[in-house]
Amino acid sequence: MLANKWVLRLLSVVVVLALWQYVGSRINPIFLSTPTKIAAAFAATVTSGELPRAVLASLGVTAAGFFSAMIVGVPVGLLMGRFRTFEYLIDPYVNALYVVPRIALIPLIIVWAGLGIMAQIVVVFGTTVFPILLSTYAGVKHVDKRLIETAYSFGASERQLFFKVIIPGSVPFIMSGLRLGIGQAVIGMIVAQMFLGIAGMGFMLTNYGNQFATDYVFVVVISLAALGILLTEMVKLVERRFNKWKNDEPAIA
Amino acid sequence: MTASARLSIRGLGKRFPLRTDGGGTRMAQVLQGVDLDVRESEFVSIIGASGSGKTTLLRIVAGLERADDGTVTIDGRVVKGPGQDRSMVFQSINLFPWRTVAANVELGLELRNVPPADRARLAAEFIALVGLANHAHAYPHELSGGMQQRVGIARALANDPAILLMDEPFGSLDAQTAEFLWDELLSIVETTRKTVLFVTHHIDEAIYLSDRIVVLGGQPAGIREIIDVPFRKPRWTYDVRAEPEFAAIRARLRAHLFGSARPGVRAQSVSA
Ligand SMILES: Nc1ncnc2c1ncn2[C@@H]1O[C@H](COP(=O)(O)OP(=O)(O)O)[C@@H](O)[C@H]1O
Ligand SMILES: [Mg+2]
Repeated sequence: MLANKWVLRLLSVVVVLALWQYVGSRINPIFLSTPTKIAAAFAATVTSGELPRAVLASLGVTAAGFFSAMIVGVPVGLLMGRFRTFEYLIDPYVNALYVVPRIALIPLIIVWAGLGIMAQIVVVFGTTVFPILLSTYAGVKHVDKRLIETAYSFGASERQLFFKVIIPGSVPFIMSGLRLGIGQAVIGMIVAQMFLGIAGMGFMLTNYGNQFATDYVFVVVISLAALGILLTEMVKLVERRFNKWKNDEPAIA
Repeated sequence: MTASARLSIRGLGKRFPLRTDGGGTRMAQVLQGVDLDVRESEFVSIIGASGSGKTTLLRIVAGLERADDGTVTIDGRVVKGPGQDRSMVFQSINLFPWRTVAANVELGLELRNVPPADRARLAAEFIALVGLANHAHAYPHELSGGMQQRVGIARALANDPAILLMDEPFGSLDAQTAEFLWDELLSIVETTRKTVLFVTHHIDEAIYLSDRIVVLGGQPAGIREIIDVPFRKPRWTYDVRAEPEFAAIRARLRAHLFGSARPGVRAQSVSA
């Protein structure tokens, strides 16, 4: 059954690639290009060092934006979820910013942070912080009330409750916030580099797009897909580590 | 009697806001004029129909809910909130799913900043007492309901309370597991010499476990009757339920809980 699954997937990919090659080589290459041309473009950008450099630049921006969003989003979400006063002081801005498409803020970000790396990181931060913050907030609200009461009945102080019940109880939601966040961070990074970049994968995308070099555009798109999957899997790995008490088999960690 | 009482409840009353048809609220008196003394090492059950205020009474004693009238004192000190002198065992068990059995049992000790080495030693002792020594490092979801509640009991005992408060602790378990845990609980209570205030709506459970049974009922609820349970201990050494007195107490409790004695049911239990 499992072997069957992989056979079907492989078959599907082979058939689509073959069709793509057949159709792509019979129409104008700016529409579809072909798998073989894309492979050649991939080899060229790798050997010239262009693609590795762009990936590194993009990874740096994504990581910086993601981690700063985590450092801000998780504590603010925890505090908003737990303390009403804090919630009411903060939630007008959170709600207002959340509904504004982050791209609309790019002109302002350029004014404040210029056109460099800093501005890109700010854009990534902006797209990433909300899913993390809002998931964390939801996590606090979903902490089992009975566990809160149990902690009180065993003499927990407000502070102990926060650190021993609220935070660990929110971890599953925080983790899914980080998982959503990493996807948003990649989107934010591409948008930022398309608008602001002179390097990175987003810049490559605009650059080759303007030249109608469709095979090179596909190289970037496929690399982005790989990067997105890789980063999401890394977060999932961390998530499993933190949620090991939920797994059905004892943790082997 | 008051002098030797471990727990003393005087003139206890409690009101809750009740939603009315008009969309407003009015205060409904749930408990009124409850007086009760529980002696050291005594096992007292509170029995009553659903909604008669058993949980509310226990939560007030636990310090999780405030009384509107009257006082609760433990060893002469007035209860104003939760305290280490009382530990609760919940019907919903309420283990922390991200903590192992050992870490769950250490909860109260940890909150009181007991040093880790002492915590681990005490936890191991009570985990062994409830027969879960081989499961100390398991997570709650890896245990059956009965095992989970034994962890709940170990957690309460590890805190070394003067009084164990139990709110239908076996109510979520199947009958067989629950009855097995009756003996387990009696033996643990005998070993640790704990005072127990035990809420149930299960008649046989109340009779089997208790030294005295407090019947709660009425509108607002108060104490209807207090029944002494005479059976000698340890009770797992003979068939308590075959004692003639058992049927008599059961009939009296039935009359309280169901309004009137039900002859059909009684005839059946005699013939059984
Ligand atoms: N927090 C609350 N707010 C309003 N009413 C409550 C609350 N807790 C309990 N009550 C009411 O008090 C009565 C007694 O409830 P409870 O103590 O849970 O009864 P029991 O445990 O005997 O079933 C019920 O009518 C219930 O609806
Ligand atoms: Mg109840």
